[in-house]
Amino acid sequence: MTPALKPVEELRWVASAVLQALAERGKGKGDTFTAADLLAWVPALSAGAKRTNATTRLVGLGLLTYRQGFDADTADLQGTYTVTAAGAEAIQAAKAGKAHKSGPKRPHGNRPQSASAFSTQLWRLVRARRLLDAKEAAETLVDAGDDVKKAEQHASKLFRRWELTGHLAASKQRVHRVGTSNGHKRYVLINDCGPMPPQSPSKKTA
Amino acid sequence: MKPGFVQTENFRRLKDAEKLVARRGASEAGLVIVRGVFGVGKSKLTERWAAESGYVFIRAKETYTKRALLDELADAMGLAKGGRNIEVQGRIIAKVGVDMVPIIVDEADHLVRSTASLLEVLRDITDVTGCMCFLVGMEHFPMKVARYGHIASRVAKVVEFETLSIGDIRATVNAKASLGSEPNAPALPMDEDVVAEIHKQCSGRMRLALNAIANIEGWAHANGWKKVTLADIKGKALCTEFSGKPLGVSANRVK
Repeated sequence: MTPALKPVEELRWVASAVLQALAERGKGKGDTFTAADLLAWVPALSAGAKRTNATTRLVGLGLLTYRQGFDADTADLQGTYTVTAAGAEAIQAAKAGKAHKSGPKRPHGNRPQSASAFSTQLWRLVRARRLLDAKEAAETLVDAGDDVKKAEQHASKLFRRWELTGHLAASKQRVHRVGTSNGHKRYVLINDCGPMPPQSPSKKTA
Repeated sequence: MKPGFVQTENFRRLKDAEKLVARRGASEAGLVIVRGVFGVGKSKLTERWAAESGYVFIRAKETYTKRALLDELADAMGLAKGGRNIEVQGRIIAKVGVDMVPIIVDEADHLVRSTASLLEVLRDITDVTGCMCFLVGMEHFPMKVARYGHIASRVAKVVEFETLSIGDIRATVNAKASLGSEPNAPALPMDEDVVAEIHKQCSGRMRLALNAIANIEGWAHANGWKKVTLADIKGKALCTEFSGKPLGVSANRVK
């Protein structure tokens, strides 16, 4: 059962209201209607630019198509809206009581990287040096007295990630071996993707 | 020795020069020469500066041709390298003109040989865009550039990388000298006389100063010193010594 439309002052989600009105009238793929029809079905849309906002949004989402027409009797311009296949699905969803909401329709990608982030600075250093290890990178990018060890671990992690994405290759020779330490892997730049560091594949989209 | 970068006076000088040149009067005078003797940390400072600032950084090579220079610049900016020289240069100019990101060229001595054609390539870019280009070279690099008046007139500033001051050596000792390489290793204090001795023996060069600190740390570890005084290191060579008979000189001429 289609939920009842709200009064004028409460009608905020206009696109949703249009879909509900179309559902009530059993509209489906290929059915047409005009702006005047819509205003007759949902009088609340006559307030301000609500009708225009609603149809523009639905056309933008690909749920309706718009075609400019001409009324021979009155000599007025008369536009016609046609329900698309996606629009028919949205009308069915509205009929089932599912509101059409704005917002992202798919998972977000990776966040944009800051120019001053450690990863960005490390990538710039890799591009300048072509061959680098985590210890040397941390010693160049972090001041003595700051947490160089943490930066070293962070650099190692990023190097491994960039190796997996195919931008770096690990050299066979390890460096900075002291005592029982295995030292550090050296990485060689093999695929320069430009000034910004490589993005690791997003977990949500992978 | 504790790990990490030490911000010396040269590093501050470089940053000050950048601010000064950014306010220059003639926009076409966008070249900045950074010169210094070996071992003062030119390349390390430049790399840190480039990584921090995000400027376009390339290292000139002996094998450079005009095309190789343009290709490397295009690579560094993430541009396509296809087409003729003029097309690649056009792309570089367009990119620099939009982003206005300065260019840093390390080992810039390789840009001047019997002709200055490689420098001319860079001059074209800075002339058109009004962007800064930092040329990092050895101590005689400014003299090489001075041979070409039209390029020399576009040099906004020559930044001198001096040998380390005693203050720099003191800052380095305070930041790095320790009894171990771990970040929480206890610091190894040194007398002012020791700092002066390091400064004297390393001739103001960072590379040698770091070796000297490492040597002193080794002796302190072996002898259980908690603080280093001048008496502890008296008569010892702190840095690598190059002594003996000069090559090509007969024994009786060496006194």
